[in-house]
Amino acid sequence: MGALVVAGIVLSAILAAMLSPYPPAAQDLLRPYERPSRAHLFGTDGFGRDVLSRVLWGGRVSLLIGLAAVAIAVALGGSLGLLSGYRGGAFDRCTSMVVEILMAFPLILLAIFIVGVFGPSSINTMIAIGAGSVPSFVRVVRAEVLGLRERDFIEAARALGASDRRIVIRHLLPNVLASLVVLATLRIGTAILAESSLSFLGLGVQIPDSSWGSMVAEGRNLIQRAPWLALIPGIVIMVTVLAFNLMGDSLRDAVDPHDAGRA
Amino acid sequence: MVFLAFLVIHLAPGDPVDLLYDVDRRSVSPEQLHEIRHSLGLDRPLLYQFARYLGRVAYGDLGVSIAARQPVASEIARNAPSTLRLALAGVLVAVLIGMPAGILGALRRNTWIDHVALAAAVVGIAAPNFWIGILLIYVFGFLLGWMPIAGSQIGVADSVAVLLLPGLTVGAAGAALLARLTRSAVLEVLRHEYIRTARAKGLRPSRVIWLHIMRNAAIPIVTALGLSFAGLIGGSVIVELVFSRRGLGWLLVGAINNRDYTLLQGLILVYGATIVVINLIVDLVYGFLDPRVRYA
Repeated sequence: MGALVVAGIVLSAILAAMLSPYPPAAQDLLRPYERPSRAHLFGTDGFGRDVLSRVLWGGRVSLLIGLAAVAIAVALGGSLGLLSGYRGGAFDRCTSMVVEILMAFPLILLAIFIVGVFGPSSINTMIAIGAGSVPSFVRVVRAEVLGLRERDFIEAARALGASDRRIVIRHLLPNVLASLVVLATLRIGTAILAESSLSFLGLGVQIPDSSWGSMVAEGRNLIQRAPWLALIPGIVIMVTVLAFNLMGDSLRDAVDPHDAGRA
Repeated sequence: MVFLAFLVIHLAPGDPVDLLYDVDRRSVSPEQLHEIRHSLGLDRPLLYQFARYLGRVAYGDLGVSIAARQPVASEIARNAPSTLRLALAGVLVAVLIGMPAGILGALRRNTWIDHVALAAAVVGIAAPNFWIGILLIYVFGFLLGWMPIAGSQIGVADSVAVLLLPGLTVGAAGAALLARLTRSAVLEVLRHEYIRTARAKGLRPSRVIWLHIMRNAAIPIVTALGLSFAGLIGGSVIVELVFSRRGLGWLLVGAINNRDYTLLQGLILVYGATIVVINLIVDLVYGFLDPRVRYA
């Protein structure tokens, strides 16, 4: 079910150009602050721009950043987890310590710190959220690797003379992939929330680009006059995050029957 | 961890001195800039600077805020109480709303109460907290006109009214999480035999709940509570801005926008220390609650 909604959202973001009834930047100064109506399904903002179109185009930005951030986390976190779990030793202990410390921090705080140091921008947001998500991936992958490391097929491969690199890539990686995918899907929702929070604070996507978070920020001061400007993007964020979470939950149930009983 | 914070500042593009005198470029010559750098010790090796910083921190000197020209420590101290109150309000909300919801849901499993609670929990987790705050402001502030909307009082105890909406906003996600966890924990405990025994003994249901169910469900719940406190701290940053409260979050965003790296460094330090301390407390409490762990 979640997958369907996700597919719908992603599709509408990709096809935003075709689906938007109006160009998102098109201003119609004669019709500002219109309530949602047939002509403008989500109403218009202070410049007469159609909110639906802006939501669709903003979705591209939000989704892109969220997906890219998780991709970064998967790549970095996955590799670190694999290496750390397989090698063990001082490297592992060191990595684990750093990971434990970082895991204590809420993602949003970490992201704010990183953006604070390097400056607000879309790319920095992507990197910040990605970097902030790395620890949880490292933890999960490492745990899996620790479990797999002693299994017979690994030992067999080693006995056959396979190099460490080959073992990691060819044998460990495919087995970790399942948990990676589940975690990634679940983290996309978190990433999108983080991005929208950052943009809301003005630390994420900068003008003239806009994402769902910045739309909420813009609408905030007009809440009394045009509540839909702030409320609708928020609903969209919520639905998207929900969809990804649901999808992740069903993926997890499919992959790991033990957890299927969880509430 | 302090090292990380320190490193962070020096990773920043540009030199602190450049930032400080950026506005006055014309009036300060390169030679003078070099002089200033030397006096601040910025041309010494990184490790040396770090050692000096550590020394100063031990005395409570966190440096001077670049923008406000005030000591960082006093800026932080001034704004901390407001954030603390907010965080506590959030914890209260999470516990007072989340836990009963979870317990009710577990006891009345699969009834409409359970479904409503679960649905609300799902929304609480997925919805962005700034949005929840705005929604609450709109509904209770404008539509119904019940609640005051913005502001906080530094130093003086907030009236309940001012803290209510922000507290709800900050605590929403925590309440949702706690509700789900409590429900699972209670369900898990309910399956056991000793509950049936207690009920068969004729104990009053409330006594059954407190004595048996909660005692055993407490462990995962408390752990979750402690961990969600960290999330509350993160959320407080945003909520403070939504409700125009002056606190650490407001200070943080200001520091970033003003490129006030000294302040930023101090704030990272304080936030980090707080989180570490909380985790420590949670570990201790966990050990206290679960005798099995104590002897591990």
